Amino acid sequence: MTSPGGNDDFHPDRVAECLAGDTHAWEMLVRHFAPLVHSIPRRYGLTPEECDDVFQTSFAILFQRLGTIQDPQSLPKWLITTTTRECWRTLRRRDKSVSMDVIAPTADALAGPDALLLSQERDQAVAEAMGKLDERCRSLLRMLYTTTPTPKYAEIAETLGIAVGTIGPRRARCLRSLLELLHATPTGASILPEFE
Amino acid sequence: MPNHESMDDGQRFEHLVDLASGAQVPDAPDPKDASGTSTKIVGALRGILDSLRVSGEPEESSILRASSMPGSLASRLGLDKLGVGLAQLVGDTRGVVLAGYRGAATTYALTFTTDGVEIHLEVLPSEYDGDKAEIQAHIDTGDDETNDVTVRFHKTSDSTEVSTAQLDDGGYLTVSLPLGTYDMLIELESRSVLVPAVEIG
Repeated sequence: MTSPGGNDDFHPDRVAECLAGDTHAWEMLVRHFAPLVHSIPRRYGLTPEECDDVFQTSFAILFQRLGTIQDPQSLPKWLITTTTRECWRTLRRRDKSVSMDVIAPTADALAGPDALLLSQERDQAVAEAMGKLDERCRSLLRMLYTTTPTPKYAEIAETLGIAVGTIGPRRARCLRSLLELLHATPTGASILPEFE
Repeated sequence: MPNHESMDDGQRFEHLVDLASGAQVPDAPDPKDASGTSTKIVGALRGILDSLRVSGEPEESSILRASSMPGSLASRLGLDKLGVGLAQLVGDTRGVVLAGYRGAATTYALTFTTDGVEIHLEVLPSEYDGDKAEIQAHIDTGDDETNDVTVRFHKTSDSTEVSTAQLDDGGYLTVSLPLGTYDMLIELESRSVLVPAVEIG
């Protein structure tokens, strides 16, 4: 099986081991698919608490239905569909005063399981490339793009000890470095264009 | 509108980052980009920014809770798991769409079994509240009496109890629940049966 969610290998035989009551196999399965399942409610813009609820519930449903999954190779798509359904349930349960119009899932979240699987490969490649970036770039990009809510430029500048006016050019340089690191990976090369 | 001719390489890339992050709207085509490379880079950057926004590993505690599930479902509910049977799904009518029968896809049935106990659930959308569904359950308890059988519904995500009902003499009960996923605990006279992760809605 390809590795849609984690760094460790996951063999389809693990499903049979889970069904036989092997708790270690179940833990391996959860760890393997945890990044994939975790990323989906984040794509739907759910809160950290809602993300955790969806995460727990999706694996509980998988546990209940593992015996009905005919082809273990279809597990990633099955998990994406189930987790997506949980996201929509969560959104429907929200306070009615929150208009559904303000909820903005990312484009790949709306495009279906195949697009999400491709996105997951990209997420994995980006995570690996981030690990190779120098610490200052990694910190800047994390503050700009992974922190919710995004801190103000003044806070970022103070935290990183840099001038506010340099954030824009630094961001561009760091993203360029990230792009170059990604391009050097097999996944990156397949999803990124050639550039100078 | 930026003057592409006057931009150095660093400025051009900064401009592409602004386009990718939505800080600037696309301007006139860049005459130096006849091959469309800039457009491809903006597309790639958008993908990278999306990946960064959804990045972040789940908490280790979340992984441990989910991965210890087979052994801990009963203990999460404070039960002695030796006396609890775990019901398995054996029937699900979802996905069976009856052509031309409007509404057929929103009402469905789930069937679970364990050790001579069969649980049949009909899930019907509420006529009055789109956030709830009515569950009509029939539980065949096998050799066990149906007197004083209590059925509890716990939210799967955090084990909060949300509803309790008693079976009638025929083994039936009806409850209305908010849409969600529930662990259903059936307390028979001599033992309990746990139906994990029942999807409602």
